[in-house]
Amino acid sequence: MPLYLMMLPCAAYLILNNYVPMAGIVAAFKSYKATEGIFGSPWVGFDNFNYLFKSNDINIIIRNTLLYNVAFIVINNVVGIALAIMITEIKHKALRKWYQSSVLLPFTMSMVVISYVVFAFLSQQNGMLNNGILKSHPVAWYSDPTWWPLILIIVNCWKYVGYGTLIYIAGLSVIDRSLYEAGAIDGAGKWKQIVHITLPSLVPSMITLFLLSIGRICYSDFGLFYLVPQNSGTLFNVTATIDTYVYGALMSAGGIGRSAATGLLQAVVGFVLVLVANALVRRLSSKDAMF
Amino acid sequence: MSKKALTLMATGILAAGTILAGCSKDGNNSASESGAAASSSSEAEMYTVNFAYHAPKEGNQAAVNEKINELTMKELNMKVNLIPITWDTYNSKMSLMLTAGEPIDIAFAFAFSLPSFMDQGFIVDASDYTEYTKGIYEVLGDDVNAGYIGDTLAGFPMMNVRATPSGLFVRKDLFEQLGYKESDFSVTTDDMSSFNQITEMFAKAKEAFPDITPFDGYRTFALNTITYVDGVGDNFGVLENYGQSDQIANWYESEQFKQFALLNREWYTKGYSSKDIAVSTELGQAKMKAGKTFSFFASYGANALTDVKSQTGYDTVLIPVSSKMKSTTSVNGALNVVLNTSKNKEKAFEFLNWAYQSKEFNDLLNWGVPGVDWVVDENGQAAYPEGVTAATVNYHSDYGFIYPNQYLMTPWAGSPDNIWERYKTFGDDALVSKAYGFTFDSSSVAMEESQLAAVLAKYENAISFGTVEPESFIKKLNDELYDAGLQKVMDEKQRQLDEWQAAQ
Amino acid sequence: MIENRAQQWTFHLILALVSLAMVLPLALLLISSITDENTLVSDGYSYFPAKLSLGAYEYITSNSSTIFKAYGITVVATLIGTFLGLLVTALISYPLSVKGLPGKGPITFFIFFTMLFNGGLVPSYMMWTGLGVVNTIWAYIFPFLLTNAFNIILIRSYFASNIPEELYESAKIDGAGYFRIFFSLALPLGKPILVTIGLFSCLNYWNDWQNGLYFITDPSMLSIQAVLNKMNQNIQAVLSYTSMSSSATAQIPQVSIRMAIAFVAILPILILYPFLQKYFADGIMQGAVKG
Repeated sequence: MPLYLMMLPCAAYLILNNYVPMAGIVAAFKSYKATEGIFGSPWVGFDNFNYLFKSNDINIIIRNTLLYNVAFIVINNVVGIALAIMITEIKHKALRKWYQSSVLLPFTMSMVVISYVVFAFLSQQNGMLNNGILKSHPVAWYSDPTWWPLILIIVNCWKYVGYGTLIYIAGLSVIDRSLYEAGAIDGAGKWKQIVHITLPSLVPSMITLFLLSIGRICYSDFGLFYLVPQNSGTLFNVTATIDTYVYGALMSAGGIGRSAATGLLQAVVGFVLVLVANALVRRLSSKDAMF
Repeated sequence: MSKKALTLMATGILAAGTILAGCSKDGNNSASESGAAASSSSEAEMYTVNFAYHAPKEGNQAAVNEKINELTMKELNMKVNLIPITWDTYNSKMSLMLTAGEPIDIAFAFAFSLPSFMDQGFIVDASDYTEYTKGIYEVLGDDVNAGYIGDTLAGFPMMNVRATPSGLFVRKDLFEQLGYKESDFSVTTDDMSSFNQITEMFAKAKEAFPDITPFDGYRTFALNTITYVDGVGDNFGVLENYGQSDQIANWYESEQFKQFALLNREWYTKGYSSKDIAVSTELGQAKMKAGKTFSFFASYGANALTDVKSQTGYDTVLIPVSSKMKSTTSVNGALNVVLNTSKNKEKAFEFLNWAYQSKEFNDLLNWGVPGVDWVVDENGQAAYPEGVTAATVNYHSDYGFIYPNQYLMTPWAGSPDNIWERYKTFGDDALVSKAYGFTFDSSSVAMEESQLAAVLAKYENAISFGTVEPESFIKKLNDELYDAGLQKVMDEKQRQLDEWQAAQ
Repeated sequence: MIENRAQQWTFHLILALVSLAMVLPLALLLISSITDENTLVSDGYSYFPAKLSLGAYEYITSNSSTIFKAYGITVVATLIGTFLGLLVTALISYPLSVKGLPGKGPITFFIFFTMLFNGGLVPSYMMWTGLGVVNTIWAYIFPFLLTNAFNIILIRSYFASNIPEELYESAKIDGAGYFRIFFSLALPLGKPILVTIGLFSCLNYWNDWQNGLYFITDPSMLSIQAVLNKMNQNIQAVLSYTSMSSSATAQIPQVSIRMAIAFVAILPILILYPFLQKYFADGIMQGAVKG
């Protein structure tokens, strides 16, 4: 019983902050009229969803959203784990702290600011790359789509990798040192220790992070895809995602109905994926499943 | 996550509905409470109009609000609660407040928001309340018609300058060093080859001043549709040639659009324009101020050269590159609308009517409290009082063009004599678009409009600034526009326009 | 051991490069903010600008009283918010990590569900304005930010996989109640993850500007991010509407000011970093010692 009592404050918060406003989801099926309010407005069925699927670019948009998210999940986790392992292995205390804090620095900057910094590097007229390193072969960064998949992956990794790294460091910090000693006595080299002791112990964190990120696979970081490429139209094919598209399309004719519809769609897809993934995890190792 | 979870969810959502219903009522009260707090408590029955106006910053309006209340209590027996809306809050917060049902009586709205505001039922049809707004009709005259969408009078345009032609602003010192005189140029859309005069000048400028970018900024010909064609609201289907045509046509397929694109393409490939020009978000004025820009493109009004001088620090030569046109869009850029959340719409219109006629009100809104924020100088113009500067002044909007009646305001010191006369006559020789007074009701093609906007966003800047090869990209643009339903929008526009013309 | 030496050096090398990559863009931000505006436009971005100027900071500090007040509000909101958030999050996470708690699955699901589905901004806005947070410090603390499913699930997983059950058992045999176990066992043992999540939560509060935008109308209650965001947005918006305005644009601050604004926003974090980081490192060490 005290256990349920403990959960009460947070549960109350979630109800207030998340569940009550969820009533707004009905707006996805309504044609909103101010005089009637959200609940009194007329029902329109799935009309609000149409505009998304009528688009000729729907394939590009969905492809970009999904592929970038998959790339981000894989790359950020691999790099994050690698950094976490290296940092915990460092023996020099001050330097370890320094490495550990520096990876989180970009996390403190907003995407708006990051878009300025990226522009400082890539600007065709004034940028450091074209003015310095690439002087003889300047690249028209903001109109040539070739490099953008790479640029977006790098920028995303740069900003967010610190997050995963810290979570994994926390996970690593509790591995029983005696395991390593036992390993060393058995003659296992550092590499072997990492593969056989360190990585397996990170599996629970990895699964949790994976399940959490797969739920957000239809969402994208608006700032990353809109502000960082300076909203350059010629990059559309490699930078458009569901969120940027919706923003562009709704600027002219707004309405909470359509944005609610898009949000609902993104949530439902993520939801189904998580349920499937969770069921798979439960089959493989029931204690790591989320629910 | 079995049955239990589902039941839990269902209960949650049900509970949500009830609580929300309650909330909206509470939400309604918050703004009016703050309004009441601002006014004195004794006259509780006096109606307070919540007036959302455009302001450069929030929170410094209390003293101005008090002065305005003195006026309105005397002249109208009501009070006003000023709700300043800054640039950033217009896009994000204003629609949030409206959707959440905050009791705002009157708000300013940009024309591009009107279709969506109408569709969501925010706006009161002002044509039902004409008995309260006679004064507005007197001030605006025929320009009232620019506030109509279909049969609905959605709002009243601001009283300000009516035509915005475009021109190229060139730094005077460099211009003269190249040996040019203003009379050397006569650029007109009647003869597209006349634009080559500019290209020749850029070639000379680039040779003579290798450090200087001949052309920079964030606007150019093909982007400034408001200057060259009557876009009839949204540019998807336009009346070409300054609105002198009867037929809705696709501007993006027109010869003029292509010529503009080719011109900018030439500038881009020859290095006359900045390499970043298509993604630049900085004004030509700012670029020129930094000293490395020869010229930029901009719309201009009656007082252009003085304005540009104060913005850039340089004397400039203006080369006009268009005729003047008066279209609905150039009149209804921003409007005052009365909202359905108003508790007393009659009072709201009554107040608005007064707002278009009161000199004191317009001065207060724009320059602040007389004697504190500004004084009348010996020329009869407004100036900072002794010891007050732009940095220390409490209230100074200088947004005359977006308040009800700019022509009533005291001009700021340094303005030419008869400035408002000059503003008025500036539009007198403008070509009047054949669709002047007509506003397209896009609600039946809202879906297509949003698709079209998304397509245009992909190509517009790149083509207009010439960062891509024009011919093939113009073709791609048009193919995609037609796929997205351009023809349907154009047909609907033509139909409404024909109907409107028949009714005239 | 030679192998160990080589491995340490390799890790140092890699991590040094990584931390350089993390810090250098930030340095560019700082340098551009003190570069003379005209130099910036004519010579482009550079780590070694020809001419420096503090003009951008003069522009910002012309509002210094607002800025200091705003810093104060941000600090208070960040401290209270992080503390409360961490407390309720830990309180709900711990019971969920206890084996065999009836209803655990549905409750986890109840939490997870909030991660994906939301009713959009309008209902949330109505909810919180209805609860009266407008123009109070709570406007920064409660809406959206206090806790989220992500944090709860991360902490829960950590408790579940890293705190051996025998410890709980023995505590129970000693007659400790759940609350005592929570405070004397779970909290100390969970320190690595709690510190990590606390840090993220802290950054979230620090960097948030949206609550300021939505729920604050009284300028004396604006937080630092809200103030800076306002400056920034006003610059952007004036630029995009200028076909309508001419006089309004006369004194618009430019690139270097945007950089300065960004830098002012993260400055305190940079100053506080070593202190935060000390806690942080302690947390990690504590965890490591435990084994």
